[in-house]
Order: sequence, then C-alpha cells, then structure tokens
Amino acid sequence: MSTPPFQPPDPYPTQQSAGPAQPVGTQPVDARPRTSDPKAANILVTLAAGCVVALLLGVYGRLHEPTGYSVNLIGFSSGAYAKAWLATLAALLGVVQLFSARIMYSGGGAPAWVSTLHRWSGRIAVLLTVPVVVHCLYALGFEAYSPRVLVHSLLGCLFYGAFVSKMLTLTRRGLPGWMLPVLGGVLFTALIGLWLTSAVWLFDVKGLHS
Amino acid sequence: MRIRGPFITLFVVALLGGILLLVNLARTPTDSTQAAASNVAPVAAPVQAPAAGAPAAGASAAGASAAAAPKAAAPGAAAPKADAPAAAPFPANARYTGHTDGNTSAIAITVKDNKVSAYLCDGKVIEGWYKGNATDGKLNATGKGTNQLTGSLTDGKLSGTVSAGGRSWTYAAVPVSAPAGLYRAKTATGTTGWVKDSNGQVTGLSDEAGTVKPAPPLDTNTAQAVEGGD
Repeated sequence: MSTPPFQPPDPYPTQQSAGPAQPVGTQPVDARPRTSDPKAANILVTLAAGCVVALLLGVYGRLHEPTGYSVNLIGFSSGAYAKAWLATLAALLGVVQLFSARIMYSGGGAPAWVSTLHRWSGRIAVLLTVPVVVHCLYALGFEAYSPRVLVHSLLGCLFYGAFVSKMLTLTRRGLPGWMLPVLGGVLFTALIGLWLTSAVWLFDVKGLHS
Repeated sequence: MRIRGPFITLFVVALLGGILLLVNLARTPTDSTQAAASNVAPVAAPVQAPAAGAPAAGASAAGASAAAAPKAAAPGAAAPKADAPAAAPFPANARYTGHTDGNTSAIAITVKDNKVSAYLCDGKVIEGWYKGNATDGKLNATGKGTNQLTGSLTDGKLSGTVSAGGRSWTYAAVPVSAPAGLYRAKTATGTTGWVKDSNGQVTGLSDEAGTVKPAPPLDTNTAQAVEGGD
C-alpha cells in the first residue's frame, strides 16, 4: 500500500489540469512517490474531474445573478418545502447507501441484491437532488451571508464534485481500493451536511409540513 | 455494464439538470406571469419526452422517469390567481404582509385612504419600495425604474405581481395588525426597510447610498411604521 495521501476533492483546486506526467514538482507538500506510476495519474484525473465540476458549480452559483424564482413542484406549500422533502428522501436513500456499502465491504462477499440496491438507491438519490440543486443554483446562488448558508453552498459544490469523481472511479480500473469508500464517505457526509443545513433547518424554523 | 453504468448515471444526472435549467430559463422572463405560465406547458412537454426516452439503452430509464415525474407536474404548479371578479374595496386603513412565490422575498403593503406604500425584500440583495393608489380592490404602485406592483383583493387577501430589478414574481399577502407591518428608518445617507409578518418574522435591508447592506435589528419604537402614502 504505497498509496499517496488521501486528497478529498477540494472545491477550490489549485491545479485544474488533468494529471500531467510529473504532477509532483508543482506541489511541494505532496509526498507522492516520484514514479511514473500510471496509477497516480489515474487518481489525479479522477479527482481533478470532480474538482473541476465542484469549482464550476460554485463559480456559476456565484456569478449567475440569483433570480429568486424557479419552477415549483406541485403539492407543496412552497418551493422551499418541495426541496426540503426531496432532500429528505435523498438523505434517507443516502443512509441506505451507507448500510449497503457496509455490507458490500464487510468481506466474504455480499449478495447480488445488495449491490443492485446500492446502485439504484444511489442513482435515485442523486436524481432526487437534481431539481433541488437547479433551484439552489438558479434561484439562490452561492451565498455566504451566514455560516449555515456558506457551509451549505460549499457542501453543495463538494457533493457533486465527489459524485463525479466516484462515478469516474467506478469506470476506471487500477485505482487504489480506498478511493471508492473514501469518495462514498465524502458523498454521504456532504449529503447529510446539506440536508442538515437546509431541510432540517427549514423544518425547525418553519415547521414540519409539506 | 459495470463500466458503462456510472457513465449513464452521470449522463442522466447532467441531462436532467440541463433540462431543468432550460425549463427555468424558458420560464423566467415574466413580464406577465400568466402568459409565461401558459407558455411553459407546451415548452415543457416536448422537452419531457427525450428525458425519459434517451437513457432507454441503459438501465437508468426508471431512475430518469422517477425524477421526471414530479417535474412534469411543475408547469401547472404556480398558476397565479389574478383578476378576482367583483373585488371588494380596500379598508380605509389596512396592512398586508406576505411573500413571493417560492418564499424568496417578503412583502409588506399598506393602504390608507386609497394611498399605497409597499416594500419588497429578500433580506439579501433584492429590495424595492413602491408607491401608488388603490381603488375598488385593485392596487397599482410603482417604484424605482421599472419596478411595479399590482394587486387585487379577494376575500380580504391580496395577491398580484411585483417586480424589482427587471424580475417579477407573483405574491400573496394577508391582512395583519400591529406590530406586524411595514417599517422604515431614514438616515442622512440611507433608508432601511423591514417587513414584519404576523409570525413576528422580520426581513429587512438597508440601502446606504446605493449599496444594499443587511439591515440592523428592527426596533419598532424608533422605526417609522409606514401607513398608506407615508
């Protein structure tokens, strides 16, 4: 396990280029072994893609003038509640993700339905968050006027960056085994953080209803 | 399958996000909210079809349609109720507070002797002051630039459209009594406005020489309670 140190997908990456041959020299803090290890480049490409996505989302959210208006979903008292319930569903599916992943990594092999459950609960969870994030980015933007809002904005960028990195990790061979669980952990943590700073906050401040 | 699946997932997520963004873009220019709402239905429907159809090759079709389903319902959701028949006249002195669709901004409207003062504020960047007249249960007010406020009274409740900074929203407001209402404080350099709703929630902003800043806490003893044409 001569793996490089863990690098969570930083929403503000200092290097956006996808892993050149020698990514080491530019980063003095990086104790990566100086080998032409294709694995290192592979890791960098995967994480850098996530970083770029996170950065782009943040930049868009910051630069796009919030409209304060977005398409609403029927059956809810307001767009905020529609988002809160979608996020709550996504968070519940996130918990399913956590436990199904736990079984898959428990060793001894998990039954096939567990991986199917993991795959589909994840897909549905992310799809549920899409209307939410579109509303966030389009109507509200990346804001920092309170700690809650800043944390929420940062986690939102982190979540989709980690999602992209994790999807890419699944498609690439020869990546170290820790990447998938670490990215999954980042995703879950970000999702729960997002949920706590939005839906739970809303339910707390304005009451639990639809 | 193992290798292709995540790409399909990424693609479907990006596609759904893009479609929702386009639907939003199509809906946003709302000089008349009603016109926009009726425009959207035909726009959204054809956009819908490829969303569910495209990933049919992959296993993600069910996921896409699951997420698309609530979206299909979206266009009809914000149907504004305007132009109530036979509106009752405004009370001689009335205060209304409410919020825009999506609850992004608070609004306070005061009517006294057919004169209207109103304030729209999201507590962050959007604010607008409006002055105008109210007759026969309809109000019309204007603000800086093209900012405009219209409203009509239905069963004692006020609803209509409000615009600020080139954007417009529908809103709904209910009659309230003091200390809820519209408050204003003027200094040599700026004006602060607050909307205090019937739950006691306060939304405000300060305009200091053209720069919008967070409002200080509302002190209802020192701030002016705005009524009608004040």
